[in-house]
Amino acid sequence: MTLGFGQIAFLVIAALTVAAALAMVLARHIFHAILLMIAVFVGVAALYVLLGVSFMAGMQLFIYVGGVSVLAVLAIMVTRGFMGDRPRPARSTYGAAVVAASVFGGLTWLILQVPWPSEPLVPAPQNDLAVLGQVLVSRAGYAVPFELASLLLFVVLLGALYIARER
Amino acid sequence: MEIYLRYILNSLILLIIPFASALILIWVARKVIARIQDRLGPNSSGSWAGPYAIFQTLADAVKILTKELIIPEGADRVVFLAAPAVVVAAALLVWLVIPFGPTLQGMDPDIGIFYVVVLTPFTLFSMIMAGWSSRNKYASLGTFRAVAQMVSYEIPQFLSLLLPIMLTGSLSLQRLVLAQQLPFALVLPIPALIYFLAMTAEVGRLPFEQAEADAEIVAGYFTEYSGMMFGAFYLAEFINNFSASLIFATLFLGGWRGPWVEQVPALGPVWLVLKGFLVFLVLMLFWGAMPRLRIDHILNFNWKLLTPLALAMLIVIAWVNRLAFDLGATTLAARAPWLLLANLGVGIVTWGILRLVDRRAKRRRDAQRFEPFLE
Repeated sequence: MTLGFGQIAFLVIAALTVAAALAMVLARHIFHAILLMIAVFVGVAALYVLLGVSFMAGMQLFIYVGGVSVLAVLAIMVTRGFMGDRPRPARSTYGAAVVAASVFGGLTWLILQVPWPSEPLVPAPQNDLAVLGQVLVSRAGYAVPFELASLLLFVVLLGALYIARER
Repeated sequence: MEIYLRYILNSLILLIIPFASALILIWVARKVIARIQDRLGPNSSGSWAGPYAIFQTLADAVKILTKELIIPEGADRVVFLAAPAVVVAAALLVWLVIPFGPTLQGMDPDIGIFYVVVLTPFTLFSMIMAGWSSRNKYASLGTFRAVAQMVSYEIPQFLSLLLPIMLTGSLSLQRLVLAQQLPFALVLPIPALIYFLAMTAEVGRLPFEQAEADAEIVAGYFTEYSGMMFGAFYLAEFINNFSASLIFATLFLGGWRGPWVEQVPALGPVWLVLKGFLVFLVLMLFWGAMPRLRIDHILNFNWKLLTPLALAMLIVIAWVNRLAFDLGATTLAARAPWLLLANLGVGIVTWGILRLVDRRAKRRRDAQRFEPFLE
């Protein structure tokens, strides 16, 4: 196998992503962990770009950096002292290790079990945004799951409003 | 080989143009604000500063480069040093996709405008990094405000962004420009206004300047920065202001389109920069003339007016656009009266609701005021 630009880029990005993930787990300060988590998200987005699906890369950054990470920062801002030097609590480490190990094991098993298609499902020129959009909202496609997902999000929103409402 | 040369050349241009334009724009901003405040602004700092002191910013830049970089005692060094790099990187990356002409564009990814949208959280995170790592009360206050403000103003910004995308049927910035037979600001005045206000809040200009509020919290999230690290934040702010103006011009003012651009394609960048510069001037006028809103007012304005209005516009325009299309108005120019009418309708309803709310609030205030006398 010759190493082209794609392979080298993949190896570099994958190595950086894994390194950032490890550093995130080992980081003693929760704010460092969040920053490293963003680095992991960026690395995953770069992998999506290498695969040629820039929309997924954009979504990855938009949802995980713009949404999840900001939410995490907001959470530590309002709960534990934002400026405080307290390291993360070590109490729940063992439980977390068990959960993480079982998730890792389950995912590995799944990856080994699933017969992955070696050919792209959609020919490359068709693999663009317009097709994705049409599939999501057409009756023959995924219109019902799509709408159900939005309904679920709406219910979650209402629930959050109900809980947070001042009484 | 040639393509790599082109990449390198492109990236050099994309690196140099924002910085050069920021140097000019800082001078423009200082002059404009000085004129508003009945001052002269930078005029002459020695004979070499040129007529009207146009080289003043250059002198400032040289000076700021020689200043000492001070890292506060309790600061988190790595994050503290990384924050200015992140903010400049996020500011520069936007320029990659701005279409300066029919062919003059760093890159036209299929996600186009979405790429610009995705970059905003990185600016936000550079602020959070700066504010958190400084270990300074003013810096963290500025960060709290910045997070609250930017996270909430993203929503009306993106909602009003959806309308030009919907009328174009593409996310590509180049196609967004090509679709504007009429500038979208003429067809969608209310979304353009919402976008402009939200954009002003996103770049943190007055009246939405709570994140740095120099009269209250020193300089907000970058209080502790000195020398060129402060310069990085300052430069990035101006680069962001101008690139946001250029994006606004691309989305709503027709981008590089203008008279004679078909005959002379070189006019494209001229028109775009001219339009962007006008938008930038409005931002600077705001800066010079507006009072600073309180943070709760800013958030109320967003959640109680801009976001619902943007949502209503999205629904109404989607319906009207489809209706007009089905009735045979296939071109944008033919649908323009329909869309304008929809804008007008929503505008009148909004105005009515605002008046009603205002009158009720006033009645409540009056009732409170006269209560002691009634007893």
